Amino acid sequence: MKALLMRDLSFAALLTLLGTVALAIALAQEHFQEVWVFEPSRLQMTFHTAWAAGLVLGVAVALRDRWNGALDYIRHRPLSPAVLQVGRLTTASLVLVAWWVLAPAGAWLAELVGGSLVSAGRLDHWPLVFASMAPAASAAALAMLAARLPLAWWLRAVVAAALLLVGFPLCEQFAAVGDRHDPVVFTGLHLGLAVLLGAVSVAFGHVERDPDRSWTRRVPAWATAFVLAAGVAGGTLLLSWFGTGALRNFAAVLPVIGRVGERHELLAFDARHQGRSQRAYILDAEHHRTGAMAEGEITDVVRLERPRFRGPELEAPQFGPRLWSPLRIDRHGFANCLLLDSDRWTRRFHVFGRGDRVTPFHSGVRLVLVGADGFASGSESAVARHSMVWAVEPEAREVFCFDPSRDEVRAVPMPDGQRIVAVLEQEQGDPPALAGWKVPSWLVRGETGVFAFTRDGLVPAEAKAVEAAELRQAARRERGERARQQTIEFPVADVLTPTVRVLDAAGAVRFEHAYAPRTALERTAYAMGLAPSLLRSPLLQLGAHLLADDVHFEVSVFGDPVVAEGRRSWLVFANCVVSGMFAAITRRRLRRAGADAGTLRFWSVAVALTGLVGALLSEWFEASRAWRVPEASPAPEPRIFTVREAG
Amino acid sequence: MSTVLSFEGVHRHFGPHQVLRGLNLTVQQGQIYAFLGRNGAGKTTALRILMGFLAPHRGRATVLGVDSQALRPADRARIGYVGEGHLLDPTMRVKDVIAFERGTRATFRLDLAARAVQRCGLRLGQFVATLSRGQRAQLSLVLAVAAAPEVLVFDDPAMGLDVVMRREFLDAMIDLLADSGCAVLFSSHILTDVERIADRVGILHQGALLVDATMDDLRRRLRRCVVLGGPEPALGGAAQVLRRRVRQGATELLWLDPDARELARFAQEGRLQDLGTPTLEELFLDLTGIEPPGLLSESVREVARAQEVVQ
Repeated sequence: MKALLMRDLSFAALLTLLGTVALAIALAQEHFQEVWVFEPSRLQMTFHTAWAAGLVLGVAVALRDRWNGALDYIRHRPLSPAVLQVGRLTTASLVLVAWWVLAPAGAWLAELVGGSLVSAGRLDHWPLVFASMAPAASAAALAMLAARLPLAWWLRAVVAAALLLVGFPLCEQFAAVGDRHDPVVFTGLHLGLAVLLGAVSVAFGHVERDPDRSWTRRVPAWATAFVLAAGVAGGTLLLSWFGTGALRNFAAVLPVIGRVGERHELLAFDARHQGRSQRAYILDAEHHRTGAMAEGEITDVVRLERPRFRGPELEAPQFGPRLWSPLRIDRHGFANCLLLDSDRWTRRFHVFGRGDRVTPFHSGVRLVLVGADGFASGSESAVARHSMVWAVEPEAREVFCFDPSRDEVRAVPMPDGQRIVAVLEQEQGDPPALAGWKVPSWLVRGETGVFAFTRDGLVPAEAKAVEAAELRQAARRERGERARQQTIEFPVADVLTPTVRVLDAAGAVRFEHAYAPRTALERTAYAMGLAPSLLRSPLLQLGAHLLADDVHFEVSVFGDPVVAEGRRSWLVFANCVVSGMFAAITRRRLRRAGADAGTLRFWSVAVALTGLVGALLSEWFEASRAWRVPEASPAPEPRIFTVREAG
Repeated sequence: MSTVLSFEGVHRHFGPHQVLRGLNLTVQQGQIYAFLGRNGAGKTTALRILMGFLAPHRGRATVLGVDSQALRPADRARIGYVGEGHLLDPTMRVKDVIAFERGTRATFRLDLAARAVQRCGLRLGQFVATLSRGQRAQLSLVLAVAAAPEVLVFDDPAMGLDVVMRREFLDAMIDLLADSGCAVLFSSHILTDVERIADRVGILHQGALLVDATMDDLRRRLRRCVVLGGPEPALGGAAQVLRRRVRQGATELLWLDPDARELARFAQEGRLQDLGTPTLEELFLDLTGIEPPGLLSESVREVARAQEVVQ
């Protein structure tokens, strides 16, 4: 093992250098303060660079001897294939460890030399940075396994893609906490995946590709089953995408359907948006045809569009000569810095709240931006090109004012020490710089008064502005009340033929509609929506059919939303029949090719459980050629032969 | 003498192409066995099966009594192997290759390797990628031999070497093998070299051995002669014509086990001319050469003319 590692030293050093440079550049692109100052979530660019670098590392380490033409030389060492593979894995592991140490250190040192934010950086973020780079390990192990598989190169790529598309999202899913990832779980899952894939690659260590011999007989059955499962999972994913496309086509011919969201807003499952909920209207089937409102139809409950700034840009304030100012976290917990926006070559003042990078401002906090013309607008995150920035926290007795021209943050007490009750939005007409545009402006309501944000601080708002804001607030409240008065039920929560029922506050049904294919176009789309279910793995489909799950598109991609929660048992049965046919065809093919009884048994069961995907994989994994043995003619005796001496 | 290498009815095909058709061969201890054959005859396939890099479809190959498909690291430590093209890791230096060999083979003799490398004029700091083909061949040989193997397997060790380097290589091989008692199986296309060093020769053709005999036997049992006129003389006893070839209007015959007295009598009668014992190259050409009509169209006419004469 030591000799193997010594041999790989220069090669590993080269890979370490290349990977470290790539990852350090990726980290630098994330910006120092994003990585080292605020609590980082997953660093996207680092994450993507890491797994791509991991794939390259795995392929390079696994195929190095083949590319060098020294494969037979290495295979003839008096070392077992498992030891050789473990040696390769160890080399890859050492390179990965070097990346994890050197890349963050390099990014930090680069900031230390050329930047000025390093004093605000926190070294205890290193584990979080490490979490973003952890996929390099699983990707490297994945590539090493794929490279070891005794399959054609394109089939190895297919298996690798399947493992990547299945393994990575599963890690994401299990590590997800809300809209973020638990870094410890995320790292643990990726390292665990790496160990698993590495162990499987060792099982394939002694098998070289030989199209004329079946490889499945030369590896343990569990290793074959693992690769098969990876392939089936990848194939099911593709089928799922195809199925979603078919369902989208069907959903496109039906009126949009919806349900009540957590905040009592109406949410629509619009298949055209990949199953993601979005705010929309519920319309009756007739509305789709005639465009007229029907009795009980709910409209205008939640608005999709938000006020957006679309007018001419305000003149950027002059922030002073420095392009970078040190990031400072003040006693209130806010931070600010002046950055050079290299994309637009403009200076930009960034304010960071007291939250983390993803949500810099805690829930309920309003950030009020005051433009050069004194006009105030609202925001939830960072700001730019405004001369003053206010942060307003509910229930507080002070507001926070960031003044870029002074480069300082200060707390401004509310007049008379009153508590903040609400932040009001008013629609103002045509400020001088925005002729022709209506944009909202913001007011803060205290216990006894309403105030506007100006350059000079908080000043009592004009009565007219308060009245406009109150009217707007009332209108909003009324819409919210209307939404809360409605209850929407799905008596039949089927993805293809749902029944939607809307109840009013008294429980009376105000709207009910059973969505079903009625026209020829809808029936065609409906049939196409069902078709992919006949090709899915019966095993996974049966799981989705028997187990209770959430409805519609939120069902895991591996299950089948069409048969979820016990619906369409006939479709599950039909799929079992179809898969049985696939299994019979596979068995017949392999029997004719000359496969042994064990292989026939394995593939018959595997294809019966996995359907079309399993059948295709059996065709590729267990090619007839691997079993075909030409008739052996008797070996001719040598025409000149010398009898050997007795041994 | 005990058998150290053997092929027992080995069959191997690649798709529809049958490469080995029941290969039977044994190499005994201390024997140098030359494995000959035309391009694509199956030599490399046979050697790769022997080293366990490829599996046979029928039959089995053994090395030191162990099935080649079940060679353990300890078995491999007793086998020296130089593959086709002497492919070593090009990213390593000569000294790294030697260190690697030493690190992976307990029996590797560093002193022997150092002396041999010095004798071959190789520099320790040189990268393998920068070595000439001949130097790489020499280094491969040194590495294989310095581990004191009981069996050596070479796949075309002289491939691509010029005459001088080939001679150097063979001399080095002979020196290194002297008194080692090591069995050697090597494939080659350079038949003059084979004649110099081999004890026994196997000629592989279309997946099976045409010849499996000692060099002494070949020299003793084969005769070439030219029929000078009249009908082809028939030799009695065990004599058989291995090859009949018509060139420039004359018929050349290759006899196996002819009766020397009968040959001398026909020669005296002027019916044929005894050309003596064929060289290995002539034997190889006669046995594996392109069958009539051959590459040249003239051969067709010559064959037709010869047939008319015979009739």
